[in-house]
Amino acid sequence: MELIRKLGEVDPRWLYVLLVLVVLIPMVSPIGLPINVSAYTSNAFALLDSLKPGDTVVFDFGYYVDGAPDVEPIAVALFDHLFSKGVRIVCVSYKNHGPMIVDKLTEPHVKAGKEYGVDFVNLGFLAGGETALAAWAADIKKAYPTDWKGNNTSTMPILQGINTVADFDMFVFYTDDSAEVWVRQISQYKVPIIGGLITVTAPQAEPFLQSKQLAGLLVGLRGAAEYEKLMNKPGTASAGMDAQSMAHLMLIAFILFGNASYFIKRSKGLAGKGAAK
Amino acid sequence: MKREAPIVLAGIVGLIQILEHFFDFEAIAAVTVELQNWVIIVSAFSLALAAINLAINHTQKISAKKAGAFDSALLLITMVFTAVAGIFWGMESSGFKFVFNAIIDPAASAFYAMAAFHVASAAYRAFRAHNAHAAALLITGVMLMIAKAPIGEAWFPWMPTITNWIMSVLNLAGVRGIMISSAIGMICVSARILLGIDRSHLGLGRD
Repeated sequence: MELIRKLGEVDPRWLYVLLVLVVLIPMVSPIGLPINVSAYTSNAFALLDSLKPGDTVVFDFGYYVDGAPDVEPIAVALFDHLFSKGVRIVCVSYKNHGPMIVDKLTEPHVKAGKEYGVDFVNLGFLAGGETALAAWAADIKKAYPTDWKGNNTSTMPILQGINTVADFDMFVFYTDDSAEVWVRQISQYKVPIIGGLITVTAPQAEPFLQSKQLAGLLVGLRGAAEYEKLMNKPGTASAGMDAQSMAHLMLIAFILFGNASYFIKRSKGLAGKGAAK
Repeated sequence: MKREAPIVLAGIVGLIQILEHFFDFEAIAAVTVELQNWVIIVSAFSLALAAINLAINHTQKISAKKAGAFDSALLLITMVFTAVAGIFWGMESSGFKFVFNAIIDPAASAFYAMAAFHVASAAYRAFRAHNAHAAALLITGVMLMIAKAPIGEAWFPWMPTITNWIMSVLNLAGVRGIMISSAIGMICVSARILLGIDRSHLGLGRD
């Protein structure tokens, strides 16, 4: 009893040390825990896998780099998947870190032979938030007369025959925010929309999935790991899942210790009903 | 006139955007896209204005030798370096890429990762079943943590079925309720602005 009570009073600094260890050890020496694929991911994968060579897809980057650890592995997996299928990708940025993120993510594909302006393009960031999204969705070449590098978009091979969002075969957005903005502005164009979200904002997107305003949802590092499994190409997300498992397990154990300690103290009259400790 | 003109203008512009959404008129659609493109231009200028304002504020802070002057100097140096690198050497230059890839990216990721420590500490110290509500939150939270981690699924294969139900029924009902009520609120606020009842966006205060 005394041991359990004391486990509920551990100095948080020990908790930090333990957290570092449980995250680092599986990264260095992976456990290889099996990953089950959720219906969300398998549906999104099936949709993206149905794209044909020559189809054109939008990738809208709506996250800042601080949200990247949770959402960027999704973008990495989708670039790999769609480029391997010969799908063309038009990258736009809802947030101002986007153009640099696109540059970083497409660099290995450029080295592998993908041609800028033909296989993909980085159109860059437009200030104006949701209004800017509405503007380019209605007339892409008017809102983006040039790409991020200053090239003329009207003569760009990848954008031939594309005037509005309705001309794309699919729309994928990645965000560390709510999915509402894309549902509000893009769903009217009847193009299938797939959202790549960070884990904490995904529950807010659930109604859009049920109403079919979103065609698919990929959620956080876990979603990326599931996608990598479906592609048979384990990457950084799969490696991170062991670490996430261990961190969750440690947190659950400490939450249980904390509660056990709280009830022992309460039974002895040492903790008030509303006390935090 | 000085007061009325912006209100009338906001009302007309707002009305055009609403009409375009509900009616399929080519002329209105063209005007709408034009207005939306104006927003992009104005927003770009507002970013430049914000940068100038930031530079003035921090320069004043340095010259007055206020607390945090060193941080202000650091901010100005990095801001000027990034701007010069982007404008004169180009956004594909190694200098500009260095700022993003070697400073902004790792620093931002580190800040995000630090949240894990705060969450761990807060969950350990404050996530207690004080009453029925707190107990419900605690149980749901722990179940979701188990279900979202591969190790939890391996140990409790039935857990994802329960958590999927929680997400697609209980969570969905709650989120939908919040969304509908906030949408109604947004319609009311928009109507007040378009009709000129709420003038706070013009700095005129509410009537």
